[in-house]
Amino acid sequence: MPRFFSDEWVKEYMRLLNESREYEEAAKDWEGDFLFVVEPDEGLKEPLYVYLDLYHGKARKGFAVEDPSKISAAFEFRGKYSNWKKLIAGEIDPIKGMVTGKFKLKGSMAKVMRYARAAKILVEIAQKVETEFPG
Amino acid sequence: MWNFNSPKISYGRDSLEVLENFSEKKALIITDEALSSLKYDELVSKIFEKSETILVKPKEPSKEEAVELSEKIREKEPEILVALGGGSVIDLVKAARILSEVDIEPEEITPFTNLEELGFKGRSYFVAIPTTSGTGSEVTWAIVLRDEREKRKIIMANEKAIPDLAVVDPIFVEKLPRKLVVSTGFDALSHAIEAFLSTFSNPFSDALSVKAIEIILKNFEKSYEGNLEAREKMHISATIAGLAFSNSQVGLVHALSHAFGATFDISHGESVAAFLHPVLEFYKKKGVGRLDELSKYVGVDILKEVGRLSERFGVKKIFEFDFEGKINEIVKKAMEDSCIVTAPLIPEEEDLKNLLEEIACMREKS
Repeated sequence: MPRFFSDEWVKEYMRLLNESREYEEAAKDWEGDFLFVVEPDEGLKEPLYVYLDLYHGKARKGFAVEDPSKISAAFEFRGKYSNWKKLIAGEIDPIKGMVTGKFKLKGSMAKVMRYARAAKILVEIAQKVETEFPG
Repeated sequence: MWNFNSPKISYGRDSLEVLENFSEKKALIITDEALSSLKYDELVSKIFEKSETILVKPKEPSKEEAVELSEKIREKEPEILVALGGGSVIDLVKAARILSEVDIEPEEITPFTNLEELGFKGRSYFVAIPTTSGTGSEVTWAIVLRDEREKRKIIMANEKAIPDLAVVDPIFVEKLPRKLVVSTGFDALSHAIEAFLSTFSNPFSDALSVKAIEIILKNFEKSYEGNLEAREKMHISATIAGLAFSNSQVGLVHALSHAFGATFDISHGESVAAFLHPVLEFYKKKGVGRLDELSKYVGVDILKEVGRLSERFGVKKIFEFDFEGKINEIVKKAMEDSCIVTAPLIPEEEDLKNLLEEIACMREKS
């Protein structure tokens, strides 16, 4: 079982994402890359980072990031580790999570609003990756 | 975790008098030309020792108009800002008030935008006084503006957009034209129904939805006939429905109405009224269980009752023109509308195409 936010995890996530017809349809015009950030709290000592380049309904490139200062992405999505676990377990809705400040998004909010359905599917697919959580 | 948001609400006859508590403040009243011709703005301005009034066009506002108004608000530095009008005026002021303090594009006012971090302080006390009984904008976090260039509605929302005080005084709807009684009544009804069906529904919004629907179903037709007591009840129920949906969200009826209305320049209320019944039929066919639950709570078959009211008021007449050539465009806009993610089921593009084609077929048969 791939460890959360490892290269193997990203690879499996991208595989599922690229198989999803639903995601392809919802994000068919989307252009924009993301840096996902897991902030340490209970059970996690160091932050985790993943880079994902999403383009026209597909994930073109993705990997675990060691040094985030070397990454310049159009969007950054970050939250505490405990909230990420709840998100992946389906206990937090991604939109509610952002409204209530459990997750923070940087980048063009207006653009994300037009792809709210795609964002929801992105999370649903992450929930399908069999994941081993550190800690 | 979720929040319940509401402004202070003064309601009922003479509730306008609550503004006497602010009579010494420097007020800026924003209303539209049509309401000014009814001298509604004078009812408000006479309460303040020092006030100015800005008149805007009586139409759904564009983002450019919001930016323009924000500059005037910044220049005049009011202590109290009063939006007097239907949803269009209130939405315009909501957006302009934020833009007067924060240098961002209107589209960047989203539920996720931390306006305080960007410098928003809420410098003016914000009062919203609805003059129609439908949008609930006086209590919601939602703002809808037109994007003229893309012929699209921009759906915005933020907790900081919620007015500080809503004054729901029935004096402003006594002379409401019948056409507006119908379209705004359906808007309120759709808010209450969609809030209950939303995936974000919660015990607070459910209670408000059920109560609003009960009041609307008892009073809609009487209000149309000119019964003032019923009209007052419709006015309050629109605010209750606004609270319901602002804390739960809407769904496919609104996503389709925004798309259809923007494409063909049809008012929000008329669009919502026309789509409410077809969308509920679609939900029924797809087995949305919450619809039956709602009927049980309200004590009537909601689908049948909405169908009956749609027939009674002839709301599907707006479909009586050839819109088939634009179906793909409408579907694309609806699928990109943020309201769609809280619908009880997220449709496929094909579902929406079929739904619109069925509506077009019904027109041909009739």
